[in-house]
Amino acid sequence: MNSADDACLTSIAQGDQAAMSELYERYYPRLSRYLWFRLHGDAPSVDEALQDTFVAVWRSAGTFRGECTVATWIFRIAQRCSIHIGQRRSQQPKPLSFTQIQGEGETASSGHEEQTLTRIALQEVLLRLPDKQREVALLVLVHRFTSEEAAKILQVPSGTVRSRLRAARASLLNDPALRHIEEVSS
Amino acid sequence: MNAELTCNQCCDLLPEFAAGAMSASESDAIASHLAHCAACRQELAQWRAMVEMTRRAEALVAAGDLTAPSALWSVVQQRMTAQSSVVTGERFMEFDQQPSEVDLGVSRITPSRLERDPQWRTGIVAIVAAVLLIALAATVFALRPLQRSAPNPAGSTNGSLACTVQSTQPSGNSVGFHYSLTCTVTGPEGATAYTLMGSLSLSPVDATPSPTGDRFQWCPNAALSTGKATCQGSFFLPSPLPPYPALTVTAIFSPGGRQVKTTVAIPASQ
Repeated sequence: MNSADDACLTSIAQGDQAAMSELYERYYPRLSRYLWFRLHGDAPSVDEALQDTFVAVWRSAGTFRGECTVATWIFRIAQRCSIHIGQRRSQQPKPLSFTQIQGEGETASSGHEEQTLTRIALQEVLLRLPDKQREVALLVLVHRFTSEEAAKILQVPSGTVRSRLRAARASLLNDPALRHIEEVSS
Repeated sequence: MNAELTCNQCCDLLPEFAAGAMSASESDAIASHLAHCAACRQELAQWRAMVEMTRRAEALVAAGDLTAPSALWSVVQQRMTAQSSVVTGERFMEFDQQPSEVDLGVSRITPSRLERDPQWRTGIVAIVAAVLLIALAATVFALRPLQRSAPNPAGSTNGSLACTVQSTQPSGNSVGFHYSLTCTVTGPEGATAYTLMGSLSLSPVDATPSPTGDRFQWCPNAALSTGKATCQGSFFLPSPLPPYPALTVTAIFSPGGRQVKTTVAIPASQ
């Protein structure tokens, strides 16, 4: 249990906007990256899901029963918000490979471009995974949730989380693009 | 946790062990098994490689910016405030609710919610009454020709945004297809700053090989002191994308988080 998160959520439940701001600062980096992969890098959808998640946390903090960690609870909300948005956007155009735009007046160097191309290749390896496999890989391997916590977030049995993880590993190990990246990197 | 794990039990827990997601006591049990099991150690090596790869790919998504943007916070705060003024102290999203029941804001109240919670009926009646009163007041006001207010100098209560994209020649050994972007922004009344955010889209049939994308922004929190500003930025695409896609640019104004969006065509690259 993260006592700072617990204290923050208790304050939010009492209507403390400063505590909400603190939680926003703390969770934005993790949630934005998690939602980026969940929503296939569609930036407007990610922003919308982030908004919805934080507003839902604000509204629902009083219902948190402490049966899981605050992080698990927040990721569960984010997961549901992204499902909702994904369903609405399913008929709309999807974004293509694109680079991070630099600040005004900043010139992209060729080193930056190489890094960008490697980044795109790595991301695409991850994006090629079936959604369910990618999701558990991100939750357990990147965000350090246990299988039980990931199971709560996804509302599936923990055995399902483990089998999806094994399938994700097999898919990644067999991806020729990943082997190519590793050869270039080494 | 029992220290005498079988290989199957150990293998089930290795992903979490490799990711460092376990408690110390659980980790001790696995470490104890690994000390005398070469097969599980080999399995662990594969999981560690996978942890490293997924973290590398995931971390690079946010390589440009890990800071929580104030523009997004402004929007969240606005919605929080709107929520409080309509339904004071209302908190009802339970952990076990289905995705369709997630309450995402005043504008997304579900019918089932309305049916089972009489407080919402009262709230909605109050909202409808308020809307009718406002409509009545607006009608009375509109019927007083000598007291009409002057039009909004911005031309719109939401502000406006116009953008152009031009193909540019890359310098040196630069790769990719380079573009410059110029946007003219007019803020709504009261706006003092703006941020431009964009996304690139094609129709689904053109989105090959696989849809990816990125968050990007120009002129973060740029001043809007005279109510109007011009933002110039640049971007490049790593590969040609015929037919050329459209760029959607959204201006987010602060304070208040109001947004205005425009779509601009991307010309053929030089």
